[in-house]
Amino acid sequence: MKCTSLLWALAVAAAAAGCQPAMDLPAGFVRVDEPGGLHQMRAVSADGVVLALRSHDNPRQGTLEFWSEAVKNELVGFRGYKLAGKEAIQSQAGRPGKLLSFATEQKGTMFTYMLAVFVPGRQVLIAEAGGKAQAVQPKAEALKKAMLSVK
Amino acid sequence: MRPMKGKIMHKALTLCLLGLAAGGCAEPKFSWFDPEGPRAQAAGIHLRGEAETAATGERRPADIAPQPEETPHLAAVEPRKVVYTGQFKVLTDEVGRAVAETRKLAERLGGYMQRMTGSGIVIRVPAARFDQAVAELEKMGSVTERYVQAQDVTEEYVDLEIRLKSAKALLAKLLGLLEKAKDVKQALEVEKELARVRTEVERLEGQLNRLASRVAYATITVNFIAAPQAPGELKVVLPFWWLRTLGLKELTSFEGRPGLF
Repeated sequence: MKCTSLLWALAVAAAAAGCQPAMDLPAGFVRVDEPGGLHQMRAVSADGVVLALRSHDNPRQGTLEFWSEAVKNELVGFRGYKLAGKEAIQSQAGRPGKLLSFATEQKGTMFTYMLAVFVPGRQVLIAEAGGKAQAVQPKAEALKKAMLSVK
Repeated sequence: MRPMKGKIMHKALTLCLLGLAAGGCAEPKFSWFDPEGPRAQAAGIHLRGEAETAATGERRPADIAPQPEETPHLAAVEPRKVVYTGQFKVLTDEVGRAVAETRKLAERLGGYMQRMTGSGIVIRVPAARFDQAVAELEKMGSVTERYVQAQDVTEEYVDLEIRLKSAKALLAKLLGLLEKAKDVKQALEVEKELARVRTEVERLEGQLNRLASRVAYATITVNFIAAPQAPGELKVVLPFWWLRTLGLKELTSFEGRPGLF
């Protein structure tokens, strides 16, 4: 009886692990996951650039256009971020997405925030990266590549 | 004469070990909830007219109490051992103040703060005050997500108690055998078994203590999310709480320290 329960638990855990979103890390980043946090994974570079992946329920099946607009409006309309770029992307797995780039300034320092949105059915996947603009800029291509590796 | 005693000793030791194995592993032939049965007596279970006092965590909040099991007279057996857990997401104007207030709330209710991050906190409160803690948390802002669970661990608890009792009884028997050992070989044999059983007793005591702690104190996890500031122009706030957690502040906040903004 206990053996059967254990096997079921293992099967459920394996299935759950299989459903967890993931992405590849660029060179120079170290994972710093916090159990129970907002993000499924987070990683940092030595100079303070943070890369993260999170997923949220999409029970009403909002489209990619809906979520990318909602994200942009939240950051521009309520936080004062400036939209620096918006482009259609496709993940390595062939899933369409949007990559948004934002700029913001704090006490004279410029910061960059990049955000990729993918909408696989009843989920919204958000890959984020950010930090001081001078630290993010040289890594922008590597960060984008990591975001495209989302699976 | 001596070899004869040695054989008797060996048989006694074997019987003891078989006894432990039967007590720890085999399915009992009687139902654990039989109030007159040996299992119930061993676990200190007896019929009661009303629920236990709350400090022991054996009372069940009315709204999340586990449903009675299939056997009708099981419901009459008290106390049940129930582990209460709750997880909440709360939209609030001041995240820092809400986290600090939650910590104070735990202390005021006789509990404590277990873990804290930038905008999240995990508290433990006496199980009897779980409902009160939840009610007060809900006043701190707008609850956007709520998950409450009551897990009945009575069977696991009683099993552990019985296994511990059996292991302790075996320990006592082995100590008796050690005193009667006639030579070094016998003594060493018993000592070896003693060491193993002592370890087992310690392990079971640890498990029982951990389970008792989970029963006595409910665990409540709260994540506070900053509500958007009043906008200068009229804007509609979309009803998706996680949009408020986007941006550099949450992204770059680690180990309870605030992020870049």
